Amino acid sequence: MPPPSADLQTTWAFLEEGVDHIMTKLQTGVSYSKYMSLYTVAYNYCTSSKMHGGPPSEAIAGANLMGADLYNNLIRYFVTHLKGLRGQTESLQDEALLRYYAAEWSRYTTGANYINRLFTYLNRHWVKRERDEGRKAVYPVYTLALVQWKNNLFIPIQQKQTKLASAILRLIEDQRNGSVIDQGLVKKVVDSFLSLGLDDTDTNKACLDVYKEHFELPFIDTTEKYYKQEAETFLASHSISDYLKKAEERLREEEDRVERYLNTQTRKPLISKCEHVLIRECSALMWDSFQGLLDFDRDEDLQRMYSLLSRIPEGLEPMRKKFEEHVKKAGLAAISKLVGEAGSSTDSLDPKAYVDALLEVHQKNSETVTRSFRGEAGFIASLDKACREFVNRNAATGQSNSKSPELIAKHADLLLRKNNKLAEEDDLEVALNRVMILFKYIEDKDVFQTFYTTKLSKRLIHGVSASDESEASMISKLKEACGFEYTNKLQRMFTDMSLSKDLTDSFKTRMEQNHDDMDISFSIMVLGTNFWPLNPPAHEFMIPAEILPTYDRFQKYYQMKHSGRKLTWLWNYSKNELRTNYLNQKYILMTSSFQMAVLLLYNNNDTLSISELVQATSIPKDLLSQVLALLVKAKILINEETDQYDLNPNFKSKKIRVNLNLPIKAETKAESTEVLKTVDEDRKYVIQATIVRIMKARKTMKNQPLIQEVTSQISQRFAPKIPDIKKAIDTLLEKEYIERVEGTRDTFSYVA
Amino acid sequence: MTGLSPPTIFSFPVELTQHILSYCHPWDVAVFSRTCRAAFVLVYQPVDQYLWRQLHATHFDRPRWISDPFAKKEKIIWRDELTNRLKIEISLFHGPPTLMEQKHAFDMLITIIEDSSWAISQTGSSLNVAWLRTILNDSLLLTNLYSIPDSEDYPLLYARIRAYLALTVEYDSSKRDKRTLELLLGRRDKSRAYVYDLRNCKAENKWGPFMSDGGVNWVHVEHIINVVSLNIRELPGSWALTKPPSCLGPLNASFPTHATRPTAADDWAGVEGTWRRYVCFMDYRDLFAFNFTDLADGPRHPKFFKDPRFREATRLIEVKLQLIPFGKLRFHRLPELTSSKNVQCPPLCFTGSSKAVNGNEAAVEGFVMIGKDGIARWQLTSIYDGHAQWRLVVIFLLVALPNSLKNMVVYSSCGVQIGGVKSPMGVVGIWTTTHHDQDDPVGPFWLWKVDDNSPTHLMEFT
Amino acid sequence: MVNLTTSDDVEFKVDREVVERSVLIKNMLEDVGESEQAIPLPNVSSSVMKKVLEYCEHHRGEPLPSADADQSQDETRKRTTDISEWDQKFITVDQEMLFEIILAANYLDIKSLLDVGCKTVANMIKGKTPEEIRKLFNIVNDFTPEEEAQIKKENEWAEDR
Repeated sequence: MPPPSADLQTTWAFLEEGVDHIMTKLQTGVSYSKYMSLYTVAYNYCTSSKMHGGPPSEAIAGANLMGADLYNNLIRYFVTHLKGLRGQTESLQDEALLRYYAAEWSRYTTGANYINRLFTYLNRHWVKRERDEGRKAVYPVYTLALVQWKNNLFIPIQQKQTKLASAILRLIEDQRNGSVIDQGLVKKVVDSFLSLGLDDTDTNKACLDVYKEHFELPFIDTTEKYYKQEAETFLASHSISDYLKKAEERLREEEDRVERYLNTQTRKPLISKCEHVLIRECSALMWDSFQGLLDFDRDEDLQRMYSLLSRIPEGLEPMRKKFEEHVKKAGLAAISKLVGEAGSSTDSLDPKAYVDALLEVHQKNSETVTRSFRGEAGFIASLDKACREFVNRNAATGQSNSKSPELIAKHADLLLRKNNKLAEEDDLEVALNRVMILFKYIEDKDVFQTFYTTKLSKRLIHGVSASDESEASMISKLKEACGFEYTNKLQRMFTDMSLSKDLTDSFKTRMEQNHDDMDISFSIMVLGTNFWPLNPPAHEFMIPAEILPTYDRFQKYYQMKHSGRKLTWLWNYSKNELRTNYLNQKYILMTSSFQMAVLLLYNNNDTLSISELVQATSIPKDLLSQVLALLVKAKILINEETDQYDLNPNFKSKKIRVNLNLPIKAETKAESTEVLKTVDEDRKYVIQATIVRIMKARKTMKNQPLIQEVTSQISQRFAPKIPDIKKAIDTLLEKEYIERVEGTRDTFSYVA
Repeated sequence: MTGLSPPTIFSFPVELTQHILSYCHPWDVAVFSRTCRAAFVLVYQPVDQYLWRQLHATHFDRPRWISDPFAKKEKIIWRDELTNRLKIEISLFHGPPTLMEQKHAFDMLITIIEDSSWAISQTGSSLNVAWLRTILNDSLLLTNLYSIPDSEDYPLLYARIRAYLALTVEYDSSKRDKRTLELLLGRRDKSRAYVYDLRNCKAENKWGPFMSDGGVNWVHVEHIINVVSLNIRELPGSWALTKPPSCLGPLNASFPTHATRPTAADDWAGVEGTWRRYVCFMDYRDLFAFNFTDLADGPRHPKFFKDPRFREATRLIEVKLQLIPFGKLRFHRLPELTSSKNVQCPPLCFTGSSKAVNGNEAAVEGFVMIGKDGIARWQLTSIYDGHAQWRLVVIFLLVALPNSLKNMVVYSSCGVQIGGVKSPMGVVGIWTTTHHDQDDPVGPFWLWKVDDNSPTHLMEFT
Repeated sequence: MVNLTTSDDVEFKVDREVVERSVLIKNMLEDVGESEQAIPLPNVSSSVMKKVLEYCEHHRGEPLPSADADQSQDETRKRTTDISEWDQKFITVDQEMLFEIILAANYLDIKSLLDVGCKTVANMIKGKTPEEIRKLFNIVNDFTPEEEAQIKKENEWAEDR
């Protein structure tokens, strides 16, 4: 061992022998004394710098650290050492080359680790300070060894037709073709690529540049070529269904490959390349085959196609569009078929059949979305869009926007009626939920609302509702879907019903105390004008003397209870029961108020002319003739001479209770149009109110934005037509709620 | 050593002697260099910067400009960095310095404070703070700063340094501090008069404490700080302790853990997390009387505040913020946001909530961007539901708003971060409504970050 | 047990845990493996080794600093010149031994001991005048008057405090 004061030549001669031993003959072992002497000699050399004081001005080198010479000698050693290895590789190819490279790599890095520790002191002081001063090409000894390996072995081999990378890529291709390869060997070589990456600013940081340049790029490139070729040949001889399976399998294999012997960062570029070649490039073909799979309910294939196409951007969009079209067609076809069966008239369409047909299409496709498209939001949107389309516009609706809401509301009405045969008790809830599915798609929810309200009021007034629970359940569903305001009226109707019951009871109690002459049983409904879709009769009505006392008493009673409230009597909705005393058999005649008024006149007359009847009841003649027609038809009255009506003294009926209170034809027909008129009126009001609300907030606004804002605010209830909005603006201008801003043509301002 | 002669300090290798010197105070190193040539060469003519780098790192935080993308990439001369800092220590203790020296000292102090904010945000602690503490405790710096008459040179610089140091005034209740506190209190009404002067909140100033050229108006900032900090001081009980930390950190000398809360990599301003915010305001009638009437020797006269009936409200609010992707802002549409080319510190957009215990909840959103001067500018918008406004200002805030902001009141706040990016000292500025109408209210605010688990028993105080 | 041989051929038998305070020896045992061979320490004399082993014995089992501890900014920030009580007592030796310990710690790569030694020397310098330091370390003032002037200029930043 040279003394501490030994010169560089002696020192290095000693060190080089030791370094070479470690690099080439490590397996023969190293003794403690050998190790310690190598460390000590390197240490002594590095610490041989001493403070000394020349004249301050010229003693620049005075505080120099020792190390540069050792460092440069190490470089020279590595270069020579690696040149030897390089010679060995010249004749090697493919797997043999990889085996040689991997073995040498492992020997070399083990040795370099030893050397690195022997030169710890050099690393810690001289190297560190060089790097601190910004000389980033100076490395700790181990890193230096790697840099030399890269420059003197790795790069030269790669420069010969990228011999190393190509050898790896050929092995990988063999594996793709089904051969078994030595994955451990591939991993070792690939790992060496990773180690050779260097971050100049921080030698501890991993850096993938060598790996990326020398392996990843060519790897991705060959992958693309391989799968392009494979996809082409495979599709030439196989069905799309087989291809979907194949592609799925290949993608899984490549994921595994990354896991087994590549760097995880390769996953992204590799998989996205595979997705491009295997999916994107074949996407047109897949889209084209999609309809066929749908038509034949090929669930598994649909699933597979979905999961493949969902991996590429925009891959699903054409599927969704086709699916939407498919659902729409199915819906329209179902209704056309139904209309065809029902004959030419859509008026006679059975609401239940209509609703069932719509729901069947919805359900089938909804299941497809869940099963094959994993309930993906885009497909749900497509389904919804298609359903909205065929629910609102189909062969049954024609041009009318109100037909579908009407039919659905009618169906709901039938479900909620007492004794309905459409649904058993338990199924009723299910049936109502199904109504709600369609309700969601109705565009003009206000039309549905109006029909529903009308139907509900009928059910309540006539006491034919199935149950309060079912009614409440349906209302809460509507409330959930459309909010409090939507069902406010409906709920108020129920409140009125229960209040009326209490009122009737308390009135009766009161009457029993005061008047023992009450011979008429009487019940009353007091219904809030704003909540019920009911109109008073448009004509005078002479209240028959028989019921007048009761009428007066109730008026007084009610006035006393709620002074100042005016009662409007809805004779046209009232009903009555009359007991017959003039026949042998006692019958109970169930009548409307108008029928009652007519019949009571026969208490004192046997025959009356129509003009006498008109005079006595104040019912207009044309309405009265229809009332009379029913009575004549039931054979209570006899109409033998023109305009002359006689009481039939020989009336006979099989039933004791005779229902005369049948709807008058004109009424039924008028109903639908009436409802639609109400809807139109309401809409005018809604549009105007919305405009006022907006203008109040904004003060001034231009025409176009105003219309847009109105449309967006109302669209949840119905789709307002632009001419209607313009009309509403004109109305408001007339009424001076808003005015045109002076000097502008299309700007309005709010008039406070 | 195996050698015959016993080792002396000169038998050590260079790296060892330098290692020893790195444990010495720089002044001791200077003394050592005067012993002999070898010592002098070791200290002043080393081949590398190891010794000076070590000395700097032992006594001061790493200067922020090194990691500042705006700074010119110059070579760092560690010896100069260190000796420049130590020079001003001497000059602050041995006044009176010349005007230039004074300016140089203040510039350096600002750098040191901003470096410390940066260090705290990176590591949770700061060496500069210990040094500042010595300076502020043992020198006459603070008293001198507050004794300077208004006709000073470098008004912005003086205002800025006072803004940075205002909260340290009560750090210790020594006699000298009492004197400084009196001087500070003497400035209060003038500060109020400035802050509540509606003319100082205008488009030209970007509705914040800015100059018309876009630079920070430090005079305005100082006045805001004076108003808010002196108000906090008068709050009862624990409110007075709920306050932004000074550049020396909180009294217990350890920084809240928020400083080391892991922040998203791109959150260069430390936006995400929990904040506290003090908002001060005058009753709007007072505000009008002060601005437009002759009640106290003419409009906007500081005497107005001498009236014993005068009251000013100070509210503590909790704010929680989180980053949102660029362009997801609902209420801001600013071309300048998109035109910023700063890659390291791109404008950050955030949303969040703001609440005080009396139920005033608001949605908050805004953005932070960095100015050419390296100072972070914050803009914050609080959207209150129309039914939950502040009682005192409700009357003229019932304004219908454009677009979809129906029935909402929107406050807009503009401020600057004092003490550098991510400074624990926080953001100060002024708030007003987004309409920027002539009659809108104006008041100062102070926003600073706290630990996520800070107690939340915030209350209203008028 | 590990056998050590110092420069003056004295043998020490030491617990591996104790001797592994020296990162040099720890690394070597890791690389070469444990054996009966004696480890030669040509740069350390037995009298110094005794002192060093006393230190290692006292601090056995304590965590070693990480390999790149002195590279980290953070480590530097947390530096103090404080020395623990035991270390203080341990290092109270004559200057010659102090310097020998520092050199041995540097050679054997025992960072904590090196720091204790260096801090001790730094503390000796603290607050002294140039003349006092010269006396302390036997330094001869070899400046010429011109050089004195240059030195004064360089040290201006530290004057007048």
